Amino acid sequence: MMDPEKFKHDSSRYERPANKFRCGRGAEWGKPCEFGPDTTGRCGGMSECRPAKVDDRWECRRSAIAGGPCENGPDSDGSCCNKHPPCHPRRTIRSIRGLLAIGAFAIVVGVIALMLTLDSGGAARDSIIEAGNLTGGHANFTSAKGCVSCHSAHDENAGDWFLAAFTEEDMTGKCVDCHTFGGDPRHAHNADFASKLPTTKCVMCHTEHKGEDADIKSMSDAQCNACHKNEIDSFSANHPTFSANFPHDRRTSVQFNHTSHLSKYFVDKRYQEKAPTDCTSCHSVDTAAKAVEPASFEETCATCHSPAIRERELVVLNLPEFEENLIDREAVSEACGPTLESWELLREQMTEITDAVEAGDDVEIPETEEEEYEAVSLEEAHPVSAYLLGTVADDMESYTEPIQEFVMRLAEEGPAPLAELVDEKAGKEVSAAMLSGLNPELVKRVACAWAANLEYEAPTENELGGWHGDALELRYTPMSHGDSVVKAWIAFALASDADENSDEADAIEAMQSVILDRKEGAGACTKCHAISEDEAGIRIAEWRYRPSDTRPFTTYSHGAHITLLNPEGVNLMDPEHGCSTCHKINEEAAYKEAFDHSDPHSFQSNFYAIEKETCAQCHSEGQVQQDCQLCHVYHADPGFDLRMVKNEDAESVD
Amino acid sequence: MSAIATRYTLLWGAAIVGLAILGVYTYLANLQLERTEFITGYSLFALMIALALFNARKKLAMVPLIRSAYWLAIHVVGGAAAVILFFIHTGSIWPTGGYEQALALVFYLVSVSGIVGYAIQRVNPRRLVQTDLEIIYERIPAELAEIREKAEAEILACTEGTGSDTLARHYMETLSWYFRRPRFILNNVFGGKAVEHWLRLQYRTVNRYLNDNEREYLDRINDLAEMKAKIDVHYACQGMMKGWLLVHLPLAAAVLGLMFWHVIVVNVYAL
Repeated sequence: MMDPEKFKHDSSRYERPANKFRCGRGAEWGKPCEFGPDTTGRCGGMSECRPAKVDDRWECRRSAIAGGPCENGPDSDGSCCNKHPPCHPRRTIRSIRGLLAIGAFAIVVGVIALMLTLDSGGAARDSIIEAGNLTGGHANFTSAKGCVSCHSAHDENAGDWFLAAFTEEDMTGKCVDCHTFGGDPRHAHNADFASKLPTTKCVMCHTEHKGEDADIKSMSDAQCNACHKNEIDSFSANHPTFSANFPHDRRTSVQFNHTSHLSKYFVDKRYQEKAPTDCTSCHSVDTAAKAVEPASFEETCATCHSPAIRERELVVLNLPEFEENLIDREAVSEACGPTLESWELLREQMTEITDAVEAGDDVEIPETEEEEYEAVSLEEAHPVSAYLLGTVADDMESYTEPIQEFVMRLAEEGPAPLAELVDEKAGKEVSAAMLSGLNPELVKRVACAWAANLEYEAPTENELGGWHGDALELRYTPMSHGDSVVKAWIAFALASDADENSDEADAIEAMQSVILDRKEGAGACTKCHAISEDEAGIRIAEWRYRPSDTRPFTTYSHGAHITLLNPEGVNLMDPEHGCSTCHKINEEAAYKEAFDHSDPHSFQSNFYAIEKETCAQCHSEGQVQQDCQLCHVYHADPGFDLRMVKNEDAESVD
Repeated sequence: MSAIATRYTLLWGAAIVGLAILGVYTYLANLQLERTEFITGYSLFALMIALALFNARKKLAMVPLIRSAYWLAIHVVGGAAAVILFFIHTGSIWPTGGYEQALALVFYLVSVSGIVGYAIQRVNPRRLVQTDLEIIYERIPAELAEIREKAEAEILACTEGTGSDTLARHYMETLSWYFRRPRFILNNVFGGKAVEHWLRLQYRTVNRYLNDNEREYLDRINDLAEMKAKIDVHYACQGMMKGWLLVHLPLAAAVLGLMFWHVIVVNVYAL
């Protein structure tokens, strides 16, 4: 035990660990001096005391700790007689600690400052700013412009750069420079829901700089539940049951009755060879995604339905019966040239004159007898031409003059007057499609024949289809399935509409009944292709396969399921493992009736609805994944702006 | 329960509750698609500043800013909470960005040095008490010099009194090395007994060549050597208690520098 007395205030020196310096002798394990170094680090122990002058004498002031006043006392000049060489004071631990701390801070600041100035704001600067690697795609397209692609402040001067810390950057705006969506990107699901939802930002879900392979798209189910009032713990637990017709939300765009095609039409031995063997006979499973789209008409329906297409002719104009002929013959001759009959009449007259001159008789030029007019046609005006010309098809008095004038115009100008009429009636430029392939010469010849009160005689048989004249009619024969002219006339007929009480109502109805006639006319197309009202209430024919559009946020992969159902070889007609695992035909469904009206959402599907339990057989706790994002997507129609694929270098060269 | 235990219990409780509230809030905010890294980041920033203020508090001893012992307790508990908060903030043990990795590395070094320092502060005082000696660290050089002077005085007295230089030669060859400065530092750091064995060996080695008179001097020198051994333990232990701060404090300063830049960059780029 150390003697406590030796550390009493008058027995030991006062230690000052807070000072910057300590005695150099003590640092070298010698006996430290009493005074120690001063604050600047100079040795304070070169003498043992600082003598004091009392009256005219210098007195030793060595402390008791150091041994008390010395024997020799101060020198005559007042300095201490016990002098020692100066030591080299050392820094105290506290001082070293402070210096190291300041040094470390200064090094950090220095390195940051150095990196900011090195390389003129290039890679060195980026290295102290970049929070992590971007994902592969983002890294690629930002490689040219760098950080400024997304961060506007990046290339600003130092002042503006720093001030950017106090302003909010519209990062979503940067995202939509390249990404496009089916709706406002700042709205939940890019959609306008009835309920008001808070404004969204891309960075709420997608945060970058988490590495090249980071998954910046996935969300947890809990995050979905943040907005959805009906919180769902898991699909199998409390996901709502599927709708009554799931997954069908509307009737099909093509009326194809699975029940009758699979169990009725091909029972007849004549057609058994053409019968589909299974679902894959028509549905292309090798490209299956959300929908298993049917193969083309040519690959499927054409076997049975193709021949009938050429039989469905469209009559656009006809020459009706007239009470009187108002057509000026000279005008016809001028437009069309003389007819064969007029040539023959002229030749007879010339012969009579020549004979009279030779016989010395008086030449008497015979006066042309006005023949009694007898119309070559006994038909009424065709409803299409009557509608186009604004006349009444069965009122001869009404249509005689307009149609004859129109025929003369056709003879003089070709199809232009007809194009004017259809454009005028449609209210937009549709004639190019409706009259596509109509030869002006054909129109003139037909019109000239009609103007001369003659039937048009076609020089050849119309074997290839298309526009042709047939005696008293201008007709169009579809050339193949999907004929664009027929589609244009059907669209024209469907779009024509008028108030029930208007004068045109009857004419429109008559025109539509002819064009859309399913039994005999071109309207046979609509036996299969549904006629539906679009968003604007306009009736349109659905020419193409139309996948579901009322569940834009739902996704499904048929491909993955087909593989899973039977890994050893898919037999899609296998009742247990094939398509019918989920898609069971409902033979009792009133499928056909759904096409008698134009509301696509009033329907009965050919198939029983798929129930949630079907999916939950596999997608449930402890089995297959069942999180929200497996079947649902957040964004509506995500895509990229066209500028993403532009070659900017090429533009600059231009 | 002692006052210290109560103090730490309360602080640990407050820290756990605070972290739990922040954790739950962060979790819920994350579910609401809010940017939780700003909440956790600024919480961590504030905590780091509070931890740094402990050093400032020590320099302002004259100002009544709560007892230093409370500051220490807050610093210890707050430091541990900062590590947990750091994990909550980054969402991972090792971030992806180069700068963030540097920040994380220094942060971890500060944390580890703090934990080591805390362990030293808890263990070494007990070891010092076991020496049955109290001495201020700064006085150790003077004390060693005094012991050395006494030992050398004994050797001179022995030579003069007995007329034998056996002990003096032994001192010159072995013990003078020992008395010159603190020895067996590393061994003392780890609580070893090497110095005792060494002294016993030296004692036995020379003892057989000494007569009874000389042995009296040897015994007194041995007493001084044992006293010096205890001071050496103090030197090693107190040195550790001061020395760890030479690592912790500069690293903490570096973390603060890195952290300030991180806050600026985040506000410029991520807001």
